[in-house]
Amino acid sequence: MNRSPYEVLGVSKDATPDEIKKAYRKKARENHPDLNPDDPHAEERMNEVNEAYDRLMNPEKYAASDHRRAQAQQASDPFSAAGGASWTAQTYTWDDIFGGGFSYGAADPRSIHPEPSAEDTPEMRTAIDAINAARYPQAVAVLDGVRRRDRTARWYYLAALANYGAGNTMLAFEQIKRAVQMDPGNDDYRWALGAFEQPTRQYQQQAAQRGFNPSAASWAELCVGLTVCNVAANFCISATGAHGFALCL
Amino acid sequence: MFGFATVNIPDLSEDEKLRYRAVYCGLCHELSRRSGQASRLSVNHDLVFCALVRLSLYEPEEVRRTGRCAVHPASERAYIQNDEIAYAADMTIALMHGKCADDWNDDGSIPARVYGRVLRRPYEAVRERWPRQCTALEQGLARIDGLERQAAVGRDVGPDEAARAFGAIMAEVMVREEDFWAEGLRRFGFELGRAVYLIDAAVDRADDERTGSYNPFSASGLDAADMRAVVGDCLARTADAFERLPLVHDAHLMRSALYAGMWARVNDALADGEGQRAGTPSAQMKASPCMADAVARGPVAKGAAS
Repeated sequence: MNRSPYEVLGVSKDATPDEIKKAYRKKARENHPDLNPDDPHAEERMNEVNEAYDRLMNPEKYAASDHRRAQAQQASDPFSAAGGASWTAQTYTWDDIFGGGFSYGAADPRSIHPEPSAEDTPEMRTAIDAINAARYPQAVAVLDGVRRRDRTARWYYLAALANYGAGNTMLAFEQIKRAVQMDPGNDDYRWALGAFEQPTRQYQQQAAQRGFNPSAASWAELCVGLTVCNVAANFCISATGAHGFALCL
Repeated sequence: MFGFATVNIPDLSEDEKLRYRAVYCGLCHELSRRSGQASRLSVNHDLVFCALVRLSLYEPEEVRRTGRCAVHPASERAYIQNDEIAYAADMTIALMHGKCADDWNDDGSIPARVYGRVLRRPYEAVRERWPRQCTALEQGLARIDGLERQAAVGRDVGPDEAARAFGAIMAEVMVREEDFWAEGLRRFGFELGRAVYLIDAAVDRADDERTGSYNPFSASGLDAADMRAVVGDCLARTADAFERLPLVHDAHLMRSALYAGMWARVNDALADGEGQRAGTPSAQMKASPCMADAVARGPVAKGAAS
């Protein structure tokens, strides 16, 4: 793809995610093969529109392949890359495109890169390398091999980062709390614990920016209304708790 | 089965309330059409939410109808019909059938057994239509069942496994056919499934501890603030996956569930640590002949309740 995704979608480079979504919908309607049965190029254009959207919204997905392609391009023609004409010659992340404000991932535990220290065992060093290379399942496997009695506060800290990255968030949460309990004076552990709470804070900020107030919201205000209804009697249970969840007749 | 992907009513405009109800009633009609009145009890907000996402993503044509139903015999209501609603109905039957089998196996629940039998034939038809989804569902529920059994005899099963297994089910449910959006839908479905499982676990924690049932939070030693952070992390991932899909139509309506309604359920479950207001799954089932009314009418003062 030589045209930039912004050109394909017809939006400016400072478009917000919602503007990009609207532009995508417009282009998708214009180019959808089902809506253009007589146009042999519609499918090709639709694929281009899909990929343009995906490049902007899931840039991480394309980072690795773009990097390889850029390297190959540079190797075959060392003079071409200098101008940076092709969009694919550079790699972008969501943050590059939209800034940190739209992303949840900016400050979560995956952004922590532990450094090896002199006292680290070989297993811990291997785990640290794996964590820093985002090979989280490998880091988990290595750390799980450490005997229980050898599990120090630092082990819990690394295991927390590894498990968070591997998607075991609840276990990771237990482990980071354990690390802080075992060594409350360690700034790294306390910092990491703060990072574990960050996604929730960012989620709440997102909600507020979008005009929602999740702490005031209450699903319990739901009132299950039944109008004139023969079956009502069968279902007429009312579990009224402190906030009330009741059938209204 | 009541569902946890609930919208937050005060956020919605009148049009949005009617839209939600049209999808909800569409799903309910479709359920009764294919498997009789009884399967209407299966309608739940999670599948309505899944249907809204898929309708918004694919923008298929919607047939608008009005009609009466057993729950509302007096008035005609608008609802929609199309392939996506039919798909959501199929998935509702599959999930409910799996849940009934599970409740019967775990608790010897007689209503679950009876209802499971009612759903058996409809489920067989669904299984024929959607083998990938149903295989994933059966494997996922078997995995959760296995984890519960292991935990019951004191084995450390890891607190995240069951939620991930339910996430894997919802990932497949979100994908009707393999296409360009399948990857994004799976990612969203996985996180939504995990979120639903975790919120359910937070709501049921006190009950589960009383009855000795498996609950991932019980073994973890996490307090209410930690649980909030764990579920919040999961909802953040769900919202992130949602925001990467090109969803414009009904976006505000869906975000009301994602950013307010679901979080309210978390707060509600953790507010007093009791977590019993939502009741047992069977109580929820009985309480939900038509949850669409709640959305269409909006909040009603507590005193108005019978």
